[in-house]
Amino acid sequence: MPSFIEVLLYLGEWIRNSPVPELSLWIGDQPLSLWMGANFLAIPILQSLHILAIAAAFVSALMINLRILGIGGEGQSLGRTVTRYLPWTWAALGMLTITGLGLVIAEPVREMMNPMFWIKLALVVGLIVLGIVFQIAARRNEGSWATADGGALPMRAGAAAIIVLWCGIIFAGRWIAYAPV
Amino acid sequence: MNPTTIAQWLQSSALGDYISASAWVFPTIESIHVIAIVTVVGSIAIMDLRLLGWAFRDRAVTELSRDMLRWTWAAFALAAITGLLLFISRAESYIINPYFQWKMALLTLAGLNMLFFHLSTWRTVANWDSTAAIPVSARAAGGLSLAFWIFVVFCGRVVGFTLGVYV
Repeated sequence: MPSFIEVLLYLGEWIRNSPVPELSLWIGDQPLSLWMGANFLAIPILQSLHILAIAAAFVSALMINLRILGIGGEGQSLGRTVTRYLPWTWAALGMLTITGLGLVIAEPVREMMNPMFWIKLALVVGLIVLGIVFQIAARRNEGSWATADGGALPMRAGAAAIIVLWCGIIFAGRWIAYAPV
Repeated sequence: MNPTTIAQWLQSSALGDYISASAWVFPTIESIHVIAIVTVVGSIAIMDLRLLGWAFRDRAVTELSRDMLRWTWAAFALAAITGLLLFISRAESYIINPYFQWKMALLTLAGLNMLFFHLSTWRTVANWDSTAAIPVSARAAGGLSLAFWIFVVFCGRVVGFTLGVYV
């Protein structure tokens, strides 16, 4: 059983033997990347917008999932809760993609050569797939949860899994700064 | 006891030493701090947007406040504890960092704004709980809160780039 550090080192080796290094160097030579590198506040501003978008996406998703778990938004249907918060989750995900792309362009080598960055991306893809599957399943069973205190057990498990996955993504995002490259 | 002495004492304490000496303790606490902060800021922003009348108008102000507040406070407690632990590890550098000082000042302003809102404007909430006509004082409280918290996040992020620069 390889340790997590060994997995990171193995991933790093794999990245170095791929076209990623060349691509990251090329992006780093583009005018936008050079401009952001020369302006001290560009990266902190983009990161702040990224964090604010995480706040919007995470909390709006959290409110829906807490409602499914029966520990939030009491006294209103899940349908209304979803209608209120879900558009914010998706809009914020759009903002996360834009600011995230901006951060990759600003520091392509730091991000793209970093195994933790790719682990985070994989988790994000996993979250989006799980979220879509979950939404479809939830709609199909709308009748059973529309007025109940919380969702059925599989629904609750899905809601908990989405919250945990979100926390994992935030962890991975912060650890990009610390992972051995 | 001046602040610098306290900072020195905190930093050289066993706990301060433990956090700064380990390769993974600081990043782990920091990650939990980020999860706590996005929960605080996100849940407060929902209330702020409601007070501004810009969003979530299908839910009464008092109901939305009840939906949010327990999570806001729970997450704030977590953010304060993890923030204090991060602070202890390099207290001397944090305390003289202007962005850290601004962050603390903005947190205080956000707290005072909330306190004033709850002691004054909130008393009339029954009159505008579900109506479109939200009083100017409530809108102002929401707008100020949103601005304060956005700059709290920004200053906090810049601290990460400037810690040690001012030593």
